[in-house]
Amino acid sequence: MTESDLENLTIAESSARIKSGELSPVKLTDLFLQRIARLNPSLNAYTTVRADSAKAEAKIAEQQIRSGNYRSPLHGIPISIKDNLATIRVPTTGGSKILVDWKPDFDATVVAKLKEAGVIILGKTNMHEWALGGTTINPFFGTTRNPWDLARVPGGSSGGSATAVAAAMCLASIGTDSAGSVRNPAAMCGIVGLKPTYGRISCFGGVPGTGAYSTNHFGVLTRTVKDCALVLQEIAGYDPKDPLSATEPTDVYSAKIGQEIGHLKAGLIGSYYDKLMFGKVEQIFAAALKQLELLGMKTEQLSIPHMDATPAVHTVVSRAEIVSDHDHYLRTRARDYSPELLYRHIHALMFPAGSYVTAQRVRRLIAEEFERAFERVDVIITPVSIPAPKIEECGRGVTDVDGEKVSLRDARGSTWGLSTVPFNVTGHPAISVCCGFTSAEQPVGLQIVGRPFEESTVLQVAASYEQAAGWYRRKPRLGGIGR
Amino acid sequence: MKEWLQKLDREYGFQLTEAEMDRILNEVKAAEPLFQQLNAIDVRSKTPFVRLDIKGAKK
Repeated sequence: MTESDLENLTIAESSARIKSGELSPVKLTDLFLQRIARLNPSLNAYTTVRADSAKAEAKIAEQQIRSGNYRSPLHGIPISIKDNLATIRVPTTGGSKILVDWKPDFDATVVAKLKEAGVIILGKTNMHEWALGGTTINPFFGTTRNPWDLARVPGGSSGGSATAVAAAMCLASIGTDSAGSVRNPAAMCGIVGLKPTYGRISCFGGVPGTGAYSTNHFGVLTRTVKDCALVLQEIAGYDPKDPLSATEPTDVYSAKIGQEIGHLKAGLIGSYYDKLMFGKVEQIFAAALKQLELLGMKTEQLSIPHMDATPAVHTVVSRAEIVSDHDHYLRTRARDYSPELLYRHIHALMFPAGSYVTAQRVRRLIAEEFERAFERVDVIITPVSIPAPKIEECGRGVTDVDGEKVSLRDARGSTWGLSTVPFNVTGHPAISVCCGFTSAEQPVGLQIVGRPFEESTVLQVAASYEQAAGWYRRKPRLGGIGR
Repeated sequence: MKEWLQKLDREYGFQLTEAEMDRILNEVKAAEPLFQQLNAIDVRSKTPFVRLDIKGAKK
């Protein structure tokens, strides 16, 4: 195996070979570290690379497997972790200057579970400052580049994780998603990104202030849907350390992968999402729906009467919750935030308290509307986002999608967030899977949303689509970088 | 609004410039439609969504 072979490697394939002894975790880890050394100076996906620790972990994994102590399909698999998840004795910055020297003395529950499963942690990935933005243009740790076009952003806030997976600098990454921060970068980098049901994965050990209490989720970024199911299996479940984690039993998340989807019905919310498709995205989305219909799925337009209010609910709720976490640093280190984020927090301090409660009441109304909709359909299908903008376009606030000028933000937040925040408001599980490319060769994501705790169905539909459409086979061309 | 912002500035010690205050006040103004949108919705029979241990919908 050589470094370029990593581009086509998946967890599912590697773990079978690792288990049989055909593939060495030590060799695999060395190849990933070589690739990171070659690509990271250009892509800036990682803020910390744990080369020596990863090599040591790989040696231990190899010895354990040889002695018959095979722990899980993730044993010996090299992964990365977003830099807002506590990792013991490893810098955990939250993408902030304020936390630049923090090395936690504990692991986030997710990290602890992954270590127990036997993963190799290659390093920590770059992110938007405090996870509060969608570009991963970070004033302190630099801009992460999109592997499909280095002049573009990877999305965010888990942009380093998405770039690392898309560029084959790891086999999976753990991100966080308070407004689309797993699904949007996954879509913009042409990979798979899952935000499971609210509470399905423990959020203990997430850096406070990098996600709102009631809208934040930890999620998984991988190259295939099956890999996503394998990672979710190891990290899902109740955690007494997180009072907001769910007690619902976990499922066998890969059980339905490969099963037919012809008996399932998909809902569409055209009244909301038709306004969010620009350039070729409408055509790409229509082709994806056609593909699902060819697989036997029926579709139905749904009515969610207060859908248009979801971004307002999200903005009011999440910003009010987040600013509470920042109160100490706003009083002591205000000028260590980027100016934009400082102004945003100060604005949130001015939200009327009653508006938070009103937003939560509207949120109840919306949740009930979705509950009724899910009595009629098994999943909801939407586009994920606008394709990745160029870095310079983020400064101007306008991007070009196949010749159409699109504003990147308004008072509701970022334009790409409008596709994803509804399911941070409701807590439903949602995945992004690549469904095509724009004329500028930028990936577009398809969002598949399921009923609460029905991640297995979401993964089943996503895997069926992925295999039928075949977009996952297309890879960014990175051969010339760093050679 | 400006007096409120000045009070916050003193309380937190931000030392905001006039230009920064203007920028924040512009953001406050731009966000007004969000609050108006929420306030226009009839939520009289709805309790706040404060507990998120959601259950799967039954078919």
